Amino acid sequence: MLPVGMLATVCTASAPPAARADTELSLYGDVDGALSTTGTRAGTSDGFSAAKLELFTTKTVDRWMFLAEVMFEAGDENSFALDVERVEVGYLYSEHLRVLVGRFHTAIGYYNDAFHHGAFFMVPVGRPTMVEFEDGGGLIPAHNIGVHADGRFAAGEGHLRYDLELANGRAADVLEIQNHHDGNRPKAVNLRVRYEPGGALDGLIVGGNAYFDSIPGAMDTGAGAPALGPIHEWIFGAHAAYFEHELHVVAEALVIQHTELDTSARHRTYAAFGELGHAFDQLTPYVRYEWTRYPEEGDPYYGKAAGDGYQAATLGVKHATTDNIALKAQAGVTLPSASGADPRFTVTGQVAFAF
Amino acid sequence: MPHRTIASVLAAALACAGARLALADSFALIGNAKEPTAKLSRSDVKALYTGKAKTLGGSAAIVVIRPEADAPFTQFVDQVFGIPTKTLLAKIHQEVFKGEMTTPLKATSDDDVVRLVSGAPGTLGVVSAEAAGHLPTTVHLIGIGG
Repeated sequence: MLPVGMLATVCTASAPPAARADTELSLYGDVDGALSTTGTRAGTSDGFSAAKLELFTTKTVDRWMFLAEVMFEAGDENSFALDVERVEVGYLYSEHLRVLVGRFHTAIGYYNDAFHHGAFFMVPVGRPTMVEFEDGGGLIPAHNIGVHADGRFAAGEGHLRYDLELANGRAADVLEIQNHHDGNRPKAVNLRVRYEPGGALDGLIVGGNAYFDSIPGAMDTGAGAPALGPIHEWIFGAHAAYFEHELHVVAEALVIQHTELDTSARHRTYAAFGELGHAFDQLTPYVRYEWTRYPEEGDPYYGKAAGDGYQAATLGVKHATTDNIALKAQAGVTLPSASGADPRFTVTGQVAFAF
Repeated sequence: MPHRTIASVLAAALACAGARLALADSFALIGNAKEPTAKLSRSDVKALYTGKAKTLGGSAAIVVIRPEADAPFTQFVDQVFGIPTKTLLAKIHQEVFKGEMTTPLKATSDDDVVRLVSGAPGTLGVVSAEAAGHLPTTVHLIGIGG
């Protein structure tokens, strides 16, 4: 405890100019090796992948912020392409309101805007399939272009956090992201609300989502794919996450309904996953369970039939080798819903980096 | 002047009570003098150092971090967060990547921290208790309690 005289000491040092973080460019990515097999020669594949190199920068000046995440990514054709993953310009009005415009990861569930494309930060090798990106077979609109607002309010011992988004939403093609313009007039609206308790439960996040969109109809390309009329989509979800006391816990559940406006046919897909890990110094062993059920009649927007549903279980370990390198090893099995389909076993190793 | 003496003692007691937790052991939390917050709860400090809270007294919040092996910072992290400094720095790294947190300012000494915290309202930093005894008027102590 210091005496008042010391607390009141007046120094004549003049204040320097306003503190500002310098703009820095960070590099993220991962190199993977995987073996996947159904137990037959024809059903076996293996190989290495150095398919992602990401450039990340962020800068804050007073209440304005800028963030960009640009990725060089190789796809099935084995050549690299440049993808602008996130570009956000934001203004912080108060604790209750921050507004961002640009291309962002939709505030849906927990995983999508917690880990982005940073395998280095994830405990497992990759995302659960239901929250994979559009080109990775995910069920969610992972990217969106528009306006995002968020804020935080005290609520009892804890806080309420909201995220509200107005965006272009989905394109007629599930793989496409509407970066330049929206294919129809109605916009996607997304609301996520979370409660962050205090006290003994400090660190816990529990939340829910409601997402609504009108998806434009697809043109018949003449390439064999049937034309698909306009669709109304809603997504409701719940999630929980906890990362205190060396624990890593994430659980999410989603129900997605696609209504064909021409026929009023409704297709409802259900999915969920749970992930649990515990850090022992640098080592974090983990398990993950995933489940997805497509409707009996299939979902024409996803292009999935009931037999494309699955359950998957994964077991692995992450080693936080340095501040910049993480090594991971993981084994998993996927059990397709289709009767008679063989289970698929996968073993994956990963070096994830952040410099 | 007994009345003046009593008033001085009371003033000293009140000021020290506010600063008590900030000065516990070998560290003190300091803020910019233009931002008048005198005390923060442990939960508030955690929220500011992990990007959950984005403002301090109405100003955009920005925190100053020190190296992993730095003694005052290590003690601050241990007492407020109850985790290793390495874990907090990794958490901050992820929150910056998420876009939830302003990139922290980096300091390697008490003088650095004082200079950076003096630079903008809403800036928070940790200095040694020794440095807290002769702070310039551009910064002030912030008590940690609750």
